[in-house]
Amino acid sequence: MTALQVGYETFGGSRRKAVTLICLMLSSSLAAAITVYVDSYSMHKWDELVEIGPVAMEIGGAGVEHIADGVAEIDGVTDIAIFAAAEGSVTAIGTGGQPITWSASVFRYDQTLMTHFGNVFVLNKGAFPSATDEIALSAEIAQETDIDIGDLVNYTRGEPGIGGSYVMTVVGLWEFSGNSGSFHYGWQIAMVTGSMLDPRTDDSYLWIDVDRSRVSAFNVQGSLDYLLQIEESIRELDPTYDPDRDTGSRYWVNDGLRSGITNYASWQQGKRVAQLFRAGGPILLVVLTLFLAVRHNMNERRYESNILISRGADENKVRNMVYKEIMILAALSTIVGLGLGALLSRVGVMSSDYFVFRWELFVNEPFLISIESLALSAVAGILVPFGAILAYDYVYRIRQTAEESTGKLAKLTRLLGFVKWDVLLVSLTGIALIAMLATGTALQLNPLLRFFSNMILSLAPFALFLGMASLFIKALRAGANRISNRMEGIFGSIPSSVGIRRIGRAASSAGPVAMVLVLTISLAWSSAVIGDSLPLTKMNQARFTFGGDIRFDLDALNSFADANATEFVQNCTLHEAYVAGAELSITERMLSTGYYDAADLVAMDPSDYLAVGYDYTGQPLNESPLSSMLMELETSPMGAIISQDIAEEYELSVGDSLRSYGTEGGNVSVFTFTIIGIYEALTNALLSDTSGNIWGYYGAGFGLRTVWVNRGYLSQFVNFTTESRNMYAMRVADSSNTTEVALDILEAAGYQSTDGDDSANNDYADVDSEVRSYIGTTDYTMDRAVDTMLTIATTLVIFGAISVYAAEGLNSRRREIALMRAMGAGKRLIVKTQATELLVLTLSSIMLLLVFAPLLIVTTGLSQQTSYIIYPIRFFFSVPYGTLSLVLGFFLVSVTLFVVAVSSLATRIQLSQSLNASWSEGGPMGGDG
Amino acid sequence: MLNDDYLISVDNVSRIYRVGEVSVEALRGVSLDVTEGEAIAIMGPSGSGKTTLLNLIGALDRPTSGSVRIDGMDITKMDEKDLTAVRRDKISFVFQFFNLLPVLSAYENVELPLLIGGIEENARKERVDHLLELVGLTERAEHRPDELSGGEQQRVAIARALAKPKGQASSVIVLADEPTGDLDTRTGEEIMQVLRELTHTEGGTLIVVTHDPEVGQQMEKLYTMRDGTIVNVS
Ligand SMILES: Nc1ncnc2c1ncn2[C@@H]1O[C@H](COP(=O)(O)OP(=O)(O)OP(=O)(O)O)[C@@H](O)[C@H]1O
Ligand SMILES: [Mg+2]
Repeated sequence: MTALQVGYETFGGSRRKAVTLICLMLSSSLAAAITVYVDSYSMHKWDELVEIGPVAMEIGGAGVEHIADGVAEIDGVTDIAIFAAAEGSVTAIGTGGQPITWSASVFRYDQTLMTHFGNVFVLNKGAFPSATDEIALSAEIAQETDIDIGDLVNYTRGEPGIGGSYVMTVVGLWEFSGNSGSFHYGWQIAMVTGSMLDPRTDDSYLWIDVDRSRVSAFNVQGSLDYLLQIEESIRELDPTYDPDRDTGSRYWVNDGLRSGITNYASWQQGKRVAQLFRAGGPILLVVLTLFLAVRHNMNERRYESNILISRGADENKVRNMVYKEIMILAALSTIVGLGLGALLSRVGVMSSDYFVFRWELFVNEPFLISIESLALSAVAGILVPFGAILAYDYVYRIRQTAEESTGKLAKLTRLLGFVKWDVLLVSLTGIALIAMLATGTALQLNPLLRFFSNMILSLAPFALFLGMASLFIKALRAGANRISNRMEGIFGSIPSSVGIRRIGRAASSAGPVAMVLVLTISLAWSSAVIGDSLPLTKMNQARFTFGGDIRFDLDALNSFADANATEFVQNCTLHEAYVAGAELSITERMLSTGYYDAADLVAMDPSDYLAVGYDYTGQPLNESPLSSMLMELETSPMGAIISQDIAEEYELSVGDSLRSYGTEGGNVSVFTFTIIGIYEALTNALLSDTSGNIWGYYGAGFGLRTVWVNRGYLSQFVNFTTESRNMYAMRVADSSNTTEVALDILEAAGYQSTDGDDSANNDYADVDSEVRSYIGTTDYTMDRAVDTMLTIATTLVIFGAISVYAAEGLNSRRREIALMRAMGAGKRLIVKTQATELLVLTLSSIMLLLVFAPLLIVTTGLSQQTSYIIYPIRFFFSVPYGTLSLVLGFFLVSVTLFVVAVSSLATRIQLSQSLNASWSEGGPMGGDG
Repeated sequence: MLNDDYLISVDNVSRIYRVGEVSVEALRGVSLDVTEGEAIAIMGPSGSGKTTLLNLIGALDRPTSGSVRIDGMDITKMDEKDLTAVRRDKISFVFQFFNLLPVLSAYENVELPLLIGGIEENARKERVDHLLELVGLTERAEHRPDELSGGEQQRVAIARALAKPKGQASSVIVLADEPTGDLDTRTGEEIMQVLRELTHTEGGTLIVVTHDPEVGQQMEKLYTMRDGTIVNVS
């Protein structure tokens, strides 16, 4: 035709390339964002693990002192000194007045060692030994005694009882600086002058440092190779060393630097894999989009390639040409994607929670792209598109062979088509999921089953999604005509016939676009819900576990501070944040005489505790079903509230009596209670944290085998002070910080908290610090940060998908608009037609969203691991409606923008040009596939 | 040569395309008059400006200078809204590549101009049925374009061209740009005959651009173009 169309085709080509580039960029930038984020985050770990002090390696072996010169000449070695140590023991008088002896390694104070590696030691007090009767002790030892400078200790050379004994004056107290002691095996307790070492056990070592500018987190493998090379060179200083003949070297190297780097690398690898695994959904999204992109490329080039083929070009050659172009674009996009990913990783670095940013971290936090990240992004950027091409090719070929041939394969494909994989996938995963959700905690009891069930929980939604996607596309294709007939009344006949039916016709691209939208929103929603729910879950579980906002272990406090319990409790009531408090005394009793089946009897004043505790759902007791039971326990002192499992095991119901047995000093005692209530789970207030450990007892379920009884009644038989664990649970004002309140009270009681490290202390527990320390864990922070990045990344996928959709239909859309306008349709009608299409597509996406999103959210929630303890409710869902509507709003705005863009297309369109071009779709070259 | 008796009156029209620095003078001072019910042909070598002229008459494009009158109204001075009305009420195109909407059935494609024109349902159905019968496609009414042959598609396009809201001061102007260019000779002849006859019986005015001298001969008038001007009328 005219010269114009040639120009138009080139424009189309560049548009196609741009769209492809955008889609291809997604996979490399997603991979880069995650790995670069982990890299950058891991710099802290690098600092921690690789800062091993001034000594990089220690070399040992008989006669090692003679190779010092040789070692010094090895490339990379920057510093060297000889370090001598021998066995010895030190005896001193302990704080209790009794003598204590430490037998360990004693080493020589040496001036040259000090000039080279003096920084290894920190002198806390005094000086290093300079005379034969002087000794400097490790500060660790000094702490266990009251030894100070000028005191006398007994020093024995060699093994105790064999070597000579000397009375020495303590002249200094030292310790290793930072991590710098870790490279040397054994325990150093003292430093003496050279002649005082035991000559029989005397051993020399070489300490060396290496050029550390050659190790970096950027190139971990290179760093390791470099250090291994140095180690090997050292071993080779033994002339008999020959690894080929299996003769070892007499010199060994303890490479502290290398083990630090190895630890770093495995830590980093673990995090990387974990986060990439969490990104399963977004990866699926990217693959979907890439598939769309490849398909788009093939369709766009079909006209062109048909011409080439008709002129005699080989069909494979044409296809390869298309693929080659995609691969070149992929390589190009990898570079851009890496930059985008690196930028995105900064978003991760500065987010301290899901979409909670600390902007200063954007620049302040370290930044690292390691070689592995570069490689991984490159692989993702090139291999993933390649995979998409193969997938496309596969689908395309199967279709063709099925249509053309009548052979075995065709039969098989027809059979597969008959089986309807999507229906099968949806029903099977659906059944598996329902089964899993129904079994509930049973699966949770076995750690291995738990692992697999979590795996299924996190993968099943996506399998389900793929099946649903396929069904959805089929439904769109089949349903568009029907919908369009129905909608005539609402939208008018032209918008609904032309607009809606276009969806059906373009179903193979409209469907995936809808799927991308749905998946993206679902993922963002799910991340938002999880981010909101985890702290709530921790809070509710902590409240239940501790039996209140704060729980003090009165027994432990009594032994530490000299406070007495009554005084301490009074102290608590005086605090301004005090709302209510109750003493709980916990006694372990048997529920039958036959075998070991202990239960915890929790003795309480029911009306007191009613105002303090929480039930397993995190509800305050006075608002939970337990409140009436507690009220009854108040009035019937012999009553007992039992946990559900006890009722089931002994087939007990309300009104039955419950006997408990105990043996004290050979006498069997029996207490009898009347059951007045049965409840799912009851706290025993014994735990001081909610994380538990893998094989811990509460792996069987927390809140089970517990009986709540009236304190007044039980006190007749039990001496709480000597026979029970005694706890004080407290409720504080809503606005107050439980940690501050707890520390205030402890301080008032004269108790010294060991520098805020409360997780190690069992003497008190409080809800806020439990939640805070959970939120503060590396894994929590990393998960939320990666979720933030993934949400942003998947949002970009929306644009990728929409742009494919727009580009895909652009030609026919233009023609359609031009044609309608040539027939005299007004602009309003045209905009309405285009908007109707998007509206119906959006509405059907939203319908799908309402099915899929809850499913994804529930399964993601249930696969979260917040504790090794099994709680009756493993996850509390909290829905941040604001965030969810923000996400949905964002999506609707982007769709609206798309409509606006199309509308402006309707006005800008050049009628004469659009109508006279030869449209591949209407022309002889066939429609889209 | 202004004369209000003419349905179409093209007066000294030029159209210059500017592509970057280059400008192409596709039409240079073309004048032409067509009376109602007339059937004329335009011929000429490729690039001589036939399509450009047709687009100007069809209100798809505006001339650089000169005027185009339809029913005595100068459409080159109209705003977009009035132009839309002219296209809706008076003009129909039949393209070389049939240009049917792929999502609509044959019936719906023919119905579309009537829908746009706001014709009431019963009248619409009657007219569409009538036109489909005229082009011999009653049986194929529910088929979509990709289920029809090229000749059949072009018949649908002709039926669609004739589906115009009736009752206006003048009848429809059918502008056909190489309507048989993409068909084999026999089908092409058939289509040409259908186009000519139907336009005639329906009282429409027909302008056909063609490369086929025989087609040109059958028309009441034949204009020959070269380099943007009309060089011969017969
Ligand atoms: N939109 C445009 N921009 C620039 N030049 C154009 C445009 N449309 C047409 N032309 C040029 O104007 C001249 C006339 O084109 P036109 O399409 O009217 O020719 P035609 O007689 O219809 O030719 P054909 O028989 O090949 O269809 C040609 O040189 C063409 O390249
Ligand atoms: Mg032309």
